[in-house]
Amino acid sequence: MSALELILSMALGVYALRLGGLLLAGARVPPAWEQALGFVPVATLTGLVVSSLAGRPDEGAIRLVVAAAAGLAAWRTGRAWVCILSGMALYWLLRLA
Amino acid sequence: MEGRERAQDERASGVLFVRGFVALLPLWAGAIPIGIAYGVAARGGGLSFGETQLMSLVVFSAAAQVSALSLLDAGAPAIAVVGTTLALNAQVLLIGLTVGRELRLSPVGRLVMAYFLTDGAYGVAMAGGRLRWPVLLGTGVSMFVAWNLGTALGAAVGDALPDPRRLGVDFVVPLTFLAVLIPLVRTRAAALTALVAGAAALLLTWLAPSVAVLGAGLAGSAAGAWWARHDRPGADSTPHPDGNAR
Repeated sequence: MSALELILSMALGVYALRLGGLLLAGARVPPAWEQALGFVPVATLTGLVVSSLAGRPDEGAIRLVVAAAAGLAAWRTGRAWVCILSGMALYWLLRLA
Repeated sequence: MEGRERAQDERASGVLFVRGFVALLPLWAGAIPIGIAYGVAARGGGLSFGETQLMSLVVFSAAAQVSALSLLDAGAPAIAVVGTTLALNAQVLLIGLTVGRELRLSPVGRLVMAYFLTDGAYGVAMAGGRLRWPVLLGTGVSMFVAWNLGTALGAAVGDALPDPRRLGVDFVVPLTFLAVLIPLVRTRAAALTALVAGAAALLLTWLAPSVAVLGAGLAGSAAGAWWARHDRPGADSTPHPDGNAR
């Protein structure tokens, strides 16, 4: 398989998954599945947070501490930008220290 | 009258699209450095400039593209590369299902939306409360632009650039997901979902990193649904402090 064929096969596979969900949404899904779907965003976001934190084990401790503090900031203020800005500021501060 | 209403609708959609595009900008700080890293690695791995950019334009999946490079480098067969691409993106199928339920899209709308649908874009679009299609399209296109801009930079400039990972700019990615996640955890069922998903992601990151996000998504939503089924009707409300069921 040439590089071009491989790239197009990957593209076709990903697009089929992206479109598949949108197309299947009209179909009847068992209630238990439907209930589970309501929790997909929280579960997937948690998975993304954990796997993106675990991606840098060299800075694991600092990133974990800052993530906990930034999470608390998000919870108390309910504002996304407070979480992100305070998190990055604290992170660079701790890296300097 | 109808013409005026339609014009107003279109203007409102445009505003919402821009709102989505802007809301995703914090994630650019994560997407561009990863795009640059991918571009540099792809050129180093023997792909031409055109092939490197084409992959970002048509595959549009950081995890799949970066894993494809390392699999090809290790001499893996094409079927394994495509299989890994599917596994890494399986959560997009679940997200498509939720999006398809919340939004009534025309057939053409689905074809277009599907092209730009990613978990990050969905996560940010969700932050505004009710999901709206122009916002989701805006976040999706915003991510697409950032990813391809990063790829072009990386592929063009190559390894002359300093390593953005050393500056730690990529840390904005988990922070952004966290900022979107926290307000969604309002019920006990949602808290249990996050707890199980987090544990699953941690375990899988160690055992099978390529399916960590997918596994976390499945385990977490199954746990949340199980709790909601067995704790009805209190699943979505906090219990009264005096312990009296109402």
